[in-house]
Amino acid sequence: MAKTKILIIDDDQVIANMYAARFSRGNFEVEIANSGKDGLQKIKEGKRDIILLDLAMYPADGYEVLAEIKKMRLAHASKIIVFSNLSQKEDIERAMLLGASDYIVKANVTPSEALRRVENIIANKMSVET
Amino acid sequence: VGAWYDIKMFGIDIFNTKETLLFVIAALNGMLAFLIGKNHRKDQVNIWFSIIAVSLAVWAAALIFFRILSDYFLALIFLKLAYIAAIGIAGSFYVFAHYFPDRKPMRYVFFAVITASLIGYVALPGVLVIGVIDTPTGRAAIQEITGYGAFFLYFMFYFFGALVILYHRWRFAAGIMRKNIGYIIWSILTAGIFGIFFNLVLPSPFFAAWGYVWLGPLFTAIMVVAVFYAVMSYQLLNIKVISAEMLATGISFILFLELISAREFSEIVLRALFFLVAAFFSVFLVRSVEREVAEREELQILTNKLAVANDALRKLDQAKSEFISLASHQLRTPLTVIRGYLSMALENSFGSLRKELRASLELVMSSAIELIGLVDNLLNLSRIESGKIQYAFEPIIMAEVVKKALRELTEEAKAKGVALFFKKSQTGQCPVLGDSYRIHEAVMNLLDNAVKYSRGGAVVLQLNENLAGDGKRYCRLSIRDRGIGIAAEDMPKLFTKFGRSEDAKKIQAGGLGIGLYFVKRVVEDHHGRVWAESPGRGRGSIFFMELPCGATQKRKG
Repeated sequence: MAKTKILIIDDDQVIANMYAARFSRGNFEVEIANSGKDGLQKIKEGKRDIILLDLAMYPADGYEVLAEIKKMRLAHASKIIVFSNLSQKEDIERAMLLGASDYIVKANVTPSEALRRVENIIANKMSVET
Repeated sequence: VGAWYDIKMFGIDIFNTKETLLFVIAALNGMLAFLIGKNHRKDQVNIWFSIIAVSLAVWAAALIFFRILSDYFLALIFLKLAYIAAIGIAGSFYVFAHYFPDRKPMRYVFFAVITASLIGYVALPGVLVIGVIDTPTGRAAIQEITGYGAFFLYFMFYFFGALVILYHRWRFAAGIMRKNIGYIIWSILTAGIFGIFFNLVLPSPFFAAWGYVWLGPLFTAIMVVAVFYAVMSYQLLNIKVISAEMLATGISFILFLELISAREFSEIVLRALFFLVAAFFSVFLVRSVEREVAEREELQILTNKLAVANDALRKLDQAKSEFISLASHQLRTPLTVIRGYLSMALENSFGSLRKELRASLELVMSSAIELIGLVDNLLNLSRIESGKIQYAFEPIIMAEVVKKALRELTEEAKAKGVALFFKKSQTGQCPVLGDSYRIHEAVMNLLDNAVKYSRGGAVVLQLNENLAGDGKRYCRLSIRDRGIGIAAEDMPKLFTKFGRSEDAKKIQAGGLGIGLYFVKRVVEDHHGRVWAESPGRGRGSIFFMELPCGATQKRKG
C-alpha cells in the first residue's frame, strides 16, 4: 500500500519532530515545514494527502495559510487538520470556516492518538470517495 | 411718533424699507461680533469670526450712509469705507478658514502686507470710486478701473481661497464636524455668490448698476446664522447664553432708542423707567442662563471623563482575556511536548522500559495530564468570570454530541481499562436548541469525570426524551459509573466553584473543582438542569443532564 503523504506545518521544531517521529513509524511519508510561508511553498510544489497545520506561527500564521489555500485552491484534494493549542471557540470556528477538516487541540492528545485521528479521517475520506 | 425708524440723524430723511433692512443686518452683525468677542476673547476662531461680523456690520452700515447722505463727498467716504469693510470680510474670512476648526497656525506676513496695501490704496482719493451721482434708479458711483481690478482680484482670491481651505477641511473631517463645515461652506457660498453678483459684478465699471447694492448684505444673514450655529455647536455650549444675550440686548437697545427719541419730560421718565427695568431683568436673565450653561458644561466634562474611563476598562478587560488566551496557549506548548514524548516512551517507542521506570513515567504522565486539565479549567473559569461565554444557539442532535464525546475519550478510557457503553434513545433523536461547542464541552466534562473516577468496569450513557410535568419535552442524558461515588455530605458543594469532595482530592490532587461548575453554568444557560445521584461513597454515581427539546422537532412536526 502506498504511503500517505503528510505535511506538518509547525514553527515549533520540537513538536514538529515529535509528530514526524510518530507518523514515520506509521504508514506515512512525512515532510516538515517550519513556518506558514515555508508550508505554503511546499504545498505549491506538490500535493499532500494530509496537512497538519499549526495556527500560532510567524511569518504567515495558520489562518493566513488556510485563507491562501482556499483562495488559490492549492489543496483541494488534501485534508487539512488544524493542530493547535489555541482552543477558544472563535479560533475553532474561524479555522473550520476557512476550510479545515478537523481541529485538534495538541495538548489534549498524544502523538499516537493524533495518528489514529488522522487515520480515521483518511478512512472516512476513502469511504466517501468510493 | 417716536418710533426708532423715525429718528432724524445728520438731517437725513426717513429711512425707507431698504435702509431699514440694511440697518437690521448691520445691528445683527454688530451684536453678534460683540457677544462672541466678549464670551471667548482668547480664541482665534472667535476673534476672527467676530472680525467677519464687524466687517459685515460696517459694510452694511456704510452702504446705508452711501445711499442716504445728501452730501456727495461724505457719501463717497462711506462708499470707500464699504469697500474697505468688504476687504475686511474676505480677508478675515480667509484667516478664519485657517483657524477653523483645529486652529492651524497661519503665516500672516504676505496676507497682512497685501491687505494693508490694498486698504491704503483704496483709501487714496481718485482710486476705485471717484464720485457719487444720483440717477433715476437711485444712488450710484463713478468707478476707476485699476482700483476696481485690484479690489476684485483681492476679494475673489481670498474669498474663494477660504472656501478651498474649508473644502479640504470638510473632506478630511468626520461626524458632526463634517456636517458643520458643510453648512458653513454652503451658506458662505450662497451669501458670497449673491453678494458678488449684487455688490461686485452689477456695480462694476462694465454694468454700473447700483440699484441693488442693498441686497448683498441681506444674504449675509444666511451665512451669519450658519457660521454662528457651527461655531457654537462645535464648542457644545453657549448657544443659550448668546441667544439670551441677543434677546436682552435687542430689547434694551430698542427701549434705549425709544428713550432718546422721547420729547416730553413725562415720556422720558416713563421710557427711562422701562429701560432700566428691562436692563435689570436682562442682566438677571443672562446671569442665570450663564450659570445653567456652566453647570451643564461641568456635567458634560464629567460625562466625557466617564466615557474615557469606561473605554479604558473595556480595553483592560479585553487585554486580560487576550492575556489568558495567550498564556494558556504558551503553557500548553511545553505540556504537549512532555505528554507526547512520555506517551511515546510508555508505548516503548524508544525501547522497552524497566518496570520501575515505567511506573515513575506513568506518574509523570498523569501529572502532565492533570496540568493540562488545570490550564483548560483556568481558561474556562476566566471566561465564566468575565461573562465572556457567548452562545450561538442552533438546532443540534444530542445523540451526535454524545457520540463525538465518546469518540474523543475512547483512547483514555481504554488506557484506564474502562468500557464505554452508549444506550441510544428509544424515544427520539433528542434534538435541542443549543450551542454545539459548549454542550459538547459540558458532556465531555461529565464523561471525563466518569472515566477519571472509575476503577475499571463500565461507564454507561443513556439518552432519552421525557415528557416533564410542565408538559414540555426534555432530553435527558445520564452517565453512570462504578467509581468512587459521592458521600452525602459532599453532594451540596458538587456543582459549586472550587467545590471538590475529599475523595476526589485523593484521586486528583491538583484539580481546581471548576469542571462541574462550568457544566452547571452552561446547562442552566440553556434552560436545562444538571444533578447527580449516588448510593454513597465507593458505590458509583449517576450524573444527569436535562435540556429542553428544541426547534428541530417543532420544525419537523
